[in-house]
Amino acid sequence: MAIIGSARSLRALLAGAAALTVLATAACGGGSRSSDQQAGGPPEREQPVQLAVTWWGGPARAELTQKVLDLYTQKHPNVTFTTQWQGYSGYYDKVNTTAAGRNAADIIQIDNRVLREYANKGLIAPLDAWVGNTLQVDGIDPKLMDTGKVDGKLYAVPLAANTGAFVVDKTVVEPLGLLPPETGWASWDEFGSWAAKVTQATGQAPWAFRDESASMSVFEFWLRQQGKELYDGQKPGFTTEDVTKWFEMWAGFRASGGASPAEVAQPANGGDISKNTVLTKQTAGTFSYDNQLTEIAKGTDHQLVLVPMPGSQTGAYARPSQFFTAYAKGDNAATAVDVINFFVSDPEAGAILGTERGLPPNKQVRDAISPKFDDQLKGVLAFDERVTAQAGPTPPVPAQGDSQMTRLLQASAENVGFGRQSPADGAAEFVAQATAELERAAS
Amino acid sequence: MVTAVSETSTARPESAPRGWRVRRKEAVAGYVFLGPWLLGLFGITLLPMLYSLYLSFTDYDLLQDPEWVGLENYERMFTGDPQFWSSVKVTLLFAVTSVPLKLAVALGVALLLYRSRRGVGLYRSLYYVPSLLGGSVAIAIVWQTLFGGQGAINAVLAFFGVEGRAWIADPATALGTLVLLAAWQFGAPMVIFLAGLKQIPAEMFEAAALDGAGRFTQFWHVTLPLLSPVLFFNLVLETIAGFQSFTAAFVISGGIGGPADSTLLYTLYLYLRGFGDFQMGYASAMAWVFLVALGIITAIVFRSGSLWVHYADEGDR
Repeated sequence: MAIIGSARSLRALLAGAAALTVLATAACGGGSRSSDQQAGGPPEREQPVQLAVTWWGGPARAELTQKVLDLYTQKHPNVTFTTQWQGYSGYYDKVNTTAAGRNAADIIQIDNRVLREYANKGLIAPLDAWVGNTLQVDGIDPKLMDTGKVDGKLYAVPLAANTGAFVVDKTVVEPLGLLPPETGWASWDEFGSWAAKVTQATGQAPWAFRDESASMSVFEFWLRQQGKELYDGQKPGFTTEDVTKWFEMWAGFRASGGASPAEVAQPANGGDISKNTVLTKQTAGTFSYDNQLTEIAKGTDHQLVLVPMPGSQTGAYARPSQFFTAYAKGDNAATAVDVINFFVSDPEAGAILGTERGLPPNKQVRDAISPKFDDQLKGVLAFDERVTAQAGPTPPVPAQGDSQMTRLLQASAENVGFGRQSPADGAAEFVAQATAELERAAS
Repeated sequence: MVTAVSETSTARPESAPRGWRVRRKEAVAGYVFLGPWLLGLFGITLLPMLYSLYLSFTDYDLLQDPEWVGLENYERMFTGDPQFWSSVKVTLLFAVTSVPLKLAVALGVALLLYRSRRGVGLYRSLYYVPSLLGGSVAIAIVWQTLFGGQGAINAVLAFFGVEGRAWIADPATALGTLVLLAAWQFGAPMVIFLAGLKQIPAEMFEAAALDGAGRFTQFWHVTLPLLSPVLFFNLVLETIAGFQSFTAAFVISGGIGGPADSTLLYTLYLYLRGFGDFQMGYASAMAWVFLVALGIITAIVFRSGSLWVHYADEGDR
C-alpha cells in the first residue's frame, strides 16, 4: 500500500514538475516573437514602442548616447528606450548570453571583431531592405560602408570612423629635442632608434613606448605594410615566419631600450585606457586610434600629439570604430533601423555625438559640425584625413573566431616578452593554435 | 469461511482508506512545503545539469540549435587542446598551494584566538572580515592595485631597500598573488577551527602538561589528533572551493587568465570557451569532466581520512 501510494504521489510530483517546466518555457517563449515588422517596412510611430539599446564605453559616451536617444523620443514621443552599457571587457559575453536567452537588446553596438560571427549566426538582421528608405547612407564613404557588409549583405552601420595613430607625450619629448615630425618615421628602424634615444635621455623614466607586441591592431598595421592581411578568408593571412619577425622586432626594441620590458606593458595589454602607460606616465608614447586622443588627453596633465604610425601608411585604413546593428529577433526592427539612421544621418544627433566614438561617418554631418570643433578635434580630423588619404585598401571583415586570435596573440607575445619562449617558438605556437581555432570557429 | 472472508474484505476497505487519507494529506502537505525547494532542485539544478550533459555531446554556439557530435568535445579536450592542459596545471598548482596555506593560516589564527582574553570577540570578528569581502570583485581590484608594478606592496618593499616587481603582470608571480588572496580569506575555516578547539577538554592539556609535555608536544599529540575531524571537514570544503575559484582570477587578469595564461584557472577557461568563444557544447563537456575529477579528488581526500583522522569516541569501540 505504502509503495503504491508513494509511487502514485511520485508520479503526480513528476507530472507537476513537468507541467511547471512547460509553463516556464512557455513564459520564456512568450517574449520572443519573431520580427513583427517586415524587413524594409516603415518604422512604427503610432503605437508605443520600447527599444533596448546596448553599447560599451565610458560615462562620457553614455551621456552623449542618452542625449541622442532623448532627442529621438522628443521627435517621436511613442518611441522610448531602455539602455545598458558597460566597459569593453566582458561586453560580448553579456550580449552572447542575452542572445542565447532570446532577449538581446534591439540595437546592439558591435565592432568588426564579431561582425561575421553575429551575421552568420543570425543574431543581427540584414539591413539591405531598408537602405534608401529608412536608412540613408548616401553621405557615408562607400569604403567605410562596406566594412559593415558580410558576403555582400549589409548587417552593420558604421557609427564612426577612426584610424591607427601613435600618441606622443609632447611634454616629455619636446624638452629633449626629440619631438617627432608631423609625418612620423619613414621606417620601423627609424622609429626604434628614435625610441632608444628618448629612453636614454629620460633614464628609463619614462620609456619611449611599451612593448606592444601583443596588440592585434598594431600587428595588423605592420602586416598590411608588407601587403598581407590578418585573414585570408577563414585562415590566418600570415605565416610563422611573419610572426617570428614581428616578435624579433619587438625583442630588438626591448633590447635597445626603446620599448619597456613586458612587465611594464602587460597591465595595458587588455586595452583598458585607464591602464595605458601614457596615462600612468611609464611611457612617452602609445599606439592608439586618432579619436581616442580626446579620451587619453582627459586622463593626463601632459600635452599629447598624434603622429602617424611608423613606416608607410598603406598599413592604415579608415576603420569602423563601432557599428550599430539591429537584433534579428527584435520586435521592432524597422523602428530600430530608424533610430540607427538617426544616429548617423541627423546633424543634430551628430553635433551631440561629436567625435567621442570616432569621426562622424556621414560627410554631410561631418561638414556641418566640424566648424564648431575645438582645436584638438580639428587636429584629429586633419590627422585622420591626412592618413586615410594614403591608406591602403579596407581589409575584409575579420574571420569568425577573431576574439580567440586576440587572446592567443596576447598569450604568445607575453610568453616571448617574459623570455619564457623564443620568438620562433612563440610564433609557431600562435600560428598553429590560431589556424586550428579559426578552422573550428567556421565549422 | 466465506463470511470470514467477506468480513475481512469489507473491514479492510473501511479502515485502509482512512489511514490512506491521513497519510495522503500529510504527504500533500509535505510536498507543498517542499515545493519551493523541489522547484529549485528540478528547475535550476537538476534539469539544467542534465541539459548540460546533453549539450556536452553537441556543438552548441548559444545562438543556433545544438548539433549532436558524440564524443568529439571530450576527444578534443584530451587530445587537441593544449590550453586545456595548461589550465588543468594552473588549477592544480593553485589548489595544492592555496588550500594548505589557507588552512595553516586559519589554524594558526584560531590557536591564537581560542583562549578567552579581553577583546577576543572583536579580534575574531575582525579576522573574519576578509572572508566576508573575499569573494567580491572589489577586493580583487584592491589586490590588483596593491600588487601592481606601482602598487603599495612595492612602495613598502622599496622602503626596506628591496626592489619590487610587477607581481600581477609577471607570469612567474601572478598566480602567487591569487594564492595569497585565497589564504587571506581564512575566516570561515578559522571559525570552524575555533569551534573545534573549544570542544577539546581542558583536562587533556592539564594531563599532558603534568606528564611534562611542552607546548609543541601538546599541540602535536593532543590538539592536532583531537582536531583532526574538524581539519578533515575544512580540508574537504576548502579543496572543493579551491578548485572552483573563479572571481579573483577573472578580475585580476582582466578576464583572460593572463599574463601568458598563468592565471587561466579551469573555471575561467570554461567560461571563456562558453561565453566568449560560442563553444557552449565544449564548455559543458569541460564542466562534466570537472565534476567527475572533483568527485575523484574528494573521494581520495575522504579515503585518506581513515589514515589520519581520529574520532574521540573511537576508543570506546
